[in-house]
Amino acid sequence: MALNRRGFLGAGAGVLAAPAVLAEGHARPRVLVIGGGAGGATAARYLARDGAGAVAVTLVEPSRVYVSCFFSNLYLGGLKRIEEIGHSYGGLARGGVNVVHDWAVAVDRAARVVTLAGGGELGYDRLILSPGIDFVEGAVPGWSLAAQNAMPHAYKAGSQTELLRAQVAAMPQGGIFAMVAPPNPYRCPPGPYERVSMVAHVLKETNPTAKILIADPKPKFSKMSLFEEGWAEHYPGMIDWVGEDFGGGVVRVDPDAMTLSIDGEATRVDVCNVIPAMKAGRIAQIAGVTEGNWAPVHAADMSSRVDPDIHVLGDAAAQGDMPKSGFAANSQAKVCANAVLAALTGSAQFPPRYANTCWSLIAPQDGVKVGATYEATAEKIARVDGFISQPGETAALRRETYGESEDWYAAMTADMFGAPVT
Amino acid sequence: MASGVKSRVKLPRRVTAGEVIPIKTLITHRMESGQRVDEAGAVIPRAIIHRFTCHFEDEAVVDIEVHPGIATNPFFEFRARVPRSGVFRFAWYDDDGAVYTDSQAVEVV
Amino acid sequence: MAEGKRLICGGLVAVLCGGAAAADALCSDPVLPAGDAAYGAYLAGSCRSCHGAGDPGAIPAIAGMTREDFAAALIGYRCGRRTHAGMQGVARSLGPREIAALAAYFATGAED
Repeated sequence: MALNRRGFLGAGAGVLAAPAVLAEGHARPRVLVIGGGAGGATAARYLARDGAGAVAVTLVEPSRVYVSCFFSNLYLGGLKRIEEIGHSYGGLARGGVNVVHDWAVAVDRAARVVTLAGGGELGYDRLILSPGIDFVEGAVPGWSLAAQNAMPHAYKAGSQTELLRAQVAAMPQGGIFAMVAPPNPYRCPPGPYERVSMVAHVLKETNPTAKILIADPKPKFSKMSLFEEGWAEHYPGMIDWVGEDFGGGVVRVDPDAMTLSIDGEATRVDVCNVIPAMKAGRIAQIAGVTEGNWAPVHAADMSSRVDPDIHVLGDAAAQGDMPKSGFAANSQAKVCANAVLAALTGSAQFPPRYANTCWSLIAPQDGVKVGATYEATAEKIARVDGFISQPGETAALRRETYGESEDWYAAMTADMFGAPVT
Repeated sequence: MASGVKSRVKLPRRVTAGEVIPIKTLITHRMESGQRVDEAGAVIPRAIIHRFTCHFEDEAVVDIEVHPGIATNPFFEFRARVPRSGVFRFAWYDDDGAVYTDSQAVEVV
Repeated sequence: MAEGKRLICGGLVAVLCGGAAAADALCSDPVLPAGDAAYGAYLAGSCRSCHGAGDPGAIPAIAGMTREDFAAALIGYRCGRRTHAGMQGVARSLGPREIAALAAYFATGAED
């Protein structure tokens, strides 16, 4: 890549000048961020704010409203309104980020140009990809994106989440809510199980004879002992988890007949939430920075191992030990923004620091959490030490933990988008 | 009888004579240890599965004594040699006197 | 063989002593270097993921803390005198230079 670029510039092509030249006189260095979630929004905001105008920051994001995946299960549980988890990009625009609502559809890494679905082209000196996840085609036999209205994934928050909530509300008395859980690695490891908890909470109130059936390809899952304890306490007899040991990975769905078959045994269900296996968001694949399903990065600055001018944040990145979470993406974005500013403007570059905490709600006021700190090694982002809620904790401690998650949500979204406009 | 108890067993239905097969069992049970206290400070009484057995026809395969340290939803995995066609029977013994049972036939082909 | 053994033992002792000494120094004699506020501004990014500007709830606001209070709180977590599993992990991941930098940064009032 580097050799090609020198050749390209040496040939005298003047359309795209080198960053150093741009910085000296013609224009500011350009950072293009694709994806306005926890990774991309945070990176754009920190680049604009800490760069104080030294770099031109453009954020490409198709949605005008960001509905956070984190806390979307609480919306499913009736504990949050959809408006409470929606955020506009106005704060970023006011903070100096050029926000472009469009899809990025092509990346020319040699010319450092991104093409938009609307036909526009955006050049960059550094490209930050934070596209989240897409689903692996054919991962759940019988299911495809065409079936997402009959059997929603609700794993990209928004209309899918609203659809799933409406389907739960419309379940007949004594009906069955089914979930096909994803294999590792996937966005938000405790997410499917928090979702089950929140659906169980709704059913306990409105449809107490209903059942929940989970087909899971994994032998165990995040915070398993905490969820199982909580399910036994709050929703006894309602939730049936079928893990790998009992054929939970051998599934087939029929969206027309509304059946879920586990290990050859078909069950007619009323709602079927299919969460397929995941891979990096499409633009990362298009850009050619993925190996397998994910985009490998250097732990020091989240730069791609394929192209040093590209950084990959959040769920799409293969970085090592951090879970695919909004908190992790937000943490990675700050390291990346600092490194990109240093490279483009000569500002100070500080050592990378990574941390994560994932809160989950088992029932109203019954919050649990898991978290860790990490360090960058040559190979990966490596876990240093961590903590997790314990079975048998007091209700007071669980309330406190839930309170933390609410404070975190407010702080995190303000950190991503700037203070909310009132 | 405790509420919300559901058992699950998994083993091959068709085997060859003398084959050693894996058997997995799970029962949903809260396994209250008797060592927790509620918000008022009162001890929550112990309520666990205290014994699990598996028989092949009349022959005992395993007989397991279970103690309060075992987590919610106890899972057991073991192996058995199948000499001929027959039925595996499983039983979980609850502190409250209930016995939950399950069974599966195996055919030697 | 004997030489190899000594080397391994020597290494072990050094690691153990080094770790213990670093922890003890800050816990028994919390003297911090002068703080680099610019480094602190970068480090504060980690704090903002959880510590917002809203009403004090389960997670307290930290903007406006004095240098002394800020350093004392982090050292308290690091040394186990303050109990919060998450914050203890955070504090253990910060060295004297980082704690001083954060305290210096928050004392500038930039987060208020």
